[in-house]
Amino acid sequence: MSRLAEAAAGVALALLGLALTVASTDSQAQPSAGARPAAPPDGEPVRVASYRLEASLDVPAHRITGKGTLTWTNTSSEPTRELWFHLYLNAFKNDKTVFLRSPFGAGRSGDHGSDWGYIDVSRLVVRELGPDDLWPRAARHSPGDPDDQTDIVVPLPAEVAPGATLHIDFEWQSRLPSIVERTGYVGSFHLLGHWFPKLARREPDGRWAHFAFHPQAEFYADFGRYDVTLDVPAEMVVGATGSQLRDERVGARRRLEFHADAVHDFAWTAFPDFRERREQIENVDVRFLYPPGHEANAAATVEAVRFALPRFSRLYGAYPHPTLTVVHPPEQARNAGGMEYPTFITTGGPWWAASSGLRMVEGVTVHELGHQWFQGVLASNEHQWPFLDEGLDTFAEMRAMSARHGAGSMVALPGLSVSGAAARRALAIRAGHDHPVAQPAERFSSFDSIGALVYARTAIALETVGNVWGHDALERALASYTRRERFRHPGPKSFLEDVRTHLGSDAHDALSAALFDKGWVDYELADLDCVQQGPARGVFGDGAERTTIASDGAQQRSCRALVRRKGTLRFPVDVELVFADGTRQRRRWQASEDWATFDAAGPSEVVAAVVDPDRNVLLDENLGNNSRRQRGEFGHRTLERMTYAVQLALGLIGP
Amino acid sequence: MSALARTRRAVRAVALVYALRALAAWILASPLARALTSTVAAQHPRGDAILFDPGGLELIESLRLSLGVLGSELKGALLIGTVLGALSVIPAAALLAALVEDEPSGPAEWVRRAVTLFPRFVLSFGARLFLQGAVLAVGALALGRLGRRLASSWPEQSADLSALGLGLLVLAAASALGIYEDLFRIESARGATLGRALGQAGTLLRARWLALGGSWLCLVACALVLPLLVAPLVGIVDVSRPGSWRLVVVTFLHQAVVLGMVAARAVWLAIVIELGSAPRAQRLPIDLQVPPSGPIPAEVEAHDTPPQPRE
Repeated sequence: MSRLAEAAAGVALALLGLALTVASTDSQAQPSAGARPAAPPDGEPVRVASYRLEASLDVPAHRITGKGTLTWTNTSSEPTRELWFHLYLNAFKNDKTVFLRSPFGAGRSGDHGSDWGYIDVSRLVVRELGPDDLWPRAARHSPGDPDDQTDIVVPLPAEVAPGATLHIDFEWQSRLPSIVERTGYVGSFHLLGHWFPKLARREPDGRWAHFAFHPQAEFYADFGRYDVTLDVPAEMVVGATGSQLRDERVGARRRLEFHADAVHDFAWTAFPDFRERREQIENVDVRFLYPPGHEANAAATVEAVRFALPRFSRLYGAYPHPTLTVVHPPEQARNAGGMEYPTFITTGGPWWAASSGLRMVEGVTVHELGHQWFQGVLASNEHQWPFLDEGLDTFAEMRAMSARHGAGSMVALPGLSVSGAAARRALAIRAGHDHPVAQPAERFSSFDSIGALVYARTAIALETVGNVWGHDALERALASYTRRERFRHPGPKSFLEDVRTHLGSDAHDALSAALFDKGWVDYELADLDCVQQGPARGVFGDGAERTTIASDGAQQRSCRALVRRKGTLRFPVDVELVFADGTRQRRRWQASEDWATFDAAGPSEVVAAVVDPDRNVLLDENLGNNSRRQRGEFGHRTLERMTYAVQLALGLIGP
Repeated sequence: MSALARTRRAVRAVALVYALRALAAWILASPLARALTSTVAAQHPRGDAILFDPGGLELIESLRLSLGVLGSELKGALLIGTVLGALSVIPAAALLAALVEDEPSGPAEWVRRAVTLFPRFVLSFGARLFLQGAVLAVGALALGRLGRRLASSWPEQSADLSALGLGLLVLAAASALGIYEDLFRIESARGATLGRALGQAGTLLRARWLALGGSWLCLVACALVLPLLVAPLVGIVDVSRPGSWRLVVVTFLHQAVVLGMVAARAVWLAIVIELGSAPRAQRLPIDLQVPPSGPIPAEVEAHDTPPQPRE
């Protein structure tokens, strides 16, 4: 740019600034002329916040220097005089932040990391509002919290009308923390999430959905296009959100360009030791990055994606992006594993994990892949309704793993298989009375609680609903919800209405109570009793008509099973009666009342009875009281197995 | 005593040790099994077959519901286990007595010898367990620290494999204590005094460490391979399905493993006895025991040729 041009531009900007300052004294400015954008067709994203970013990574200093332009449209119905930015890297700035202030662990990993990280914005100019750097006017800390700098408001000199579009230029520098979770470095491995200043989402009613980075919460943002240029040392292997458009070597550095559309975040990784594998799965270019020695894990990951990507596309709508990057971080950076960003997921596990019989690598891969729909495409508010992402995704993962591996979907060892449903049920039942499932992430008492309720209990509640009212119908409900709400940031009501439509009001009410009202249920086979019964016996009539009927020996057994339902949830169940001659009889109980009796009369007595014999109601608090038999049985199989185990132990330590 | 008679006696001794170990295990396992099955399985029409269902739903639920009871039963089992552990030196000593005895003997004699050896064996058993525990604890501590250091500077796989190698060395050190105890007990069973048994065991361990270590590894391999071989078969038989024959088959398979391991240990002890006696009992082609006075037998004289003069 020539000096003359610089001077002319300076004058023009000054005049624009003056005009806007004058305009700002009016009630409302109209930058970029603002009719609200027309609603896009179904299944198409509204591109609200698009970023063009350029960033350079200084590996020894673990520092990123960047500049960018955010193009944002006020799609709400209200004007605004402020912008809210999430500077989530500041969560790792010191031990007083919302994220790190608890001495009892940080976030999902529970680890505090060993090096601090932060983000400094050095300039922020809204082109339509003048040349002034607005960042000095920005708040210094999160609202009401002087120790936290992750949720920052920038006042604007003029109102931005509904439908108006702003072009916001900014510059920043980020220092990465050692890996705590989701972001940071270990040695030369770098995972970069929350590495640039990111605008919060503005709801249609004009509220800014902004929040400090809470250790139990995840994210929420608007869709847009991302055009990102990364400058890294030449030896780095880089994986990122979106498609790689260019890879140019400049001396000892490389410049890579990425483009992603219809996404709400951009993450990337850089590590010189990555090995790479590429697969074309359902027209998606899937790139697997993994550290040396993890070939078996990579193979398991590839197989998991081959299975799950078509399945999820069929169930929840087509995967909308041309690329997917699956990153297996090195074990030293294990806290970077198990995370989802749009078109970019991280898995995890030690190098021997795929051969261990624990389906850790596959399970994490399928789970994170599922997020591409529930977090990536639906993009519900994870801070407000974490169950809509993590809960539904855990259910999707559980079903997918079960479809692929059957009963051993979580553990498959010789003589022992554990399903995902069984393991998660144990967690879900233990915490069932602690909190409602459907509530904001920060209201849970701990991350363990979120794990048990948001992840496990949601999945178990859905599994129960599917078992009782039909998995086909539940899949239809999920398919309807995930297709209709693509790119629309849905809330729980939308999902529950689909449940009502496809499974009925009873299913809706039960699921709603289970999620919102700490709903619980315990079925009990309270009593099983049999008596002799035959034709009437005794003395009948008076006077001359008096007769005595003696027993003719044709006695029958009359049996009664008493079942109870405790708790606030109602699921129809079967009651099975087992007769002495080996026959079985099943009867349906709608369980609309608190108890019921089931009678049976015949030559053969009922020797045992069980309520919910197929274990459909996984939300049942206690499976130990679901059955009753006339004569209890000692566990010979268990005794045999335990005796064997003790024999082996004695052989190991004995003289 | 003929080899066949020795073998028969060893088999009887192995059977005795196996039977007593099975009894001890049954005593320890019974309350635990009762606690685990009392919650879900005892009242279920299918009994405890449901605990073996694929997926583990009922097993996990049983564990969840019986955790408290199981905990207290485990404490009781530990107490009983300590007593039974001490008593288990009797069959172990009986086995040794049967293996080292030259004269024909039966269970009554072995047990009599075992009771005589009981105090010394209990002491050596306790000391060995304590020392092994200490070695493993120190080793685990050191390995933990070293593992973290290796993980931060070495490639992941190399670091893990190195740590595993070092862990095996720690296990080898702990195993050496077990070998030493066996040698000590063999010497004791042969009638050596406490000091002499301790010294002789150390000498033999130093002198024949390679042979002892090699045969010990064979024993360990046997103890690992047998259960691993049987586990898939047990999975195929699947006791969660109807048919009491399945339980019979699984019991047979498991007990075959245990019996095999007891037999393998007896073989190991026999090898050690052989190794220990080899340097002291040189076998000569003929019996040189001759009366102090009297003529030299003709065959000896013929065998013992006079030296030839040098040319």
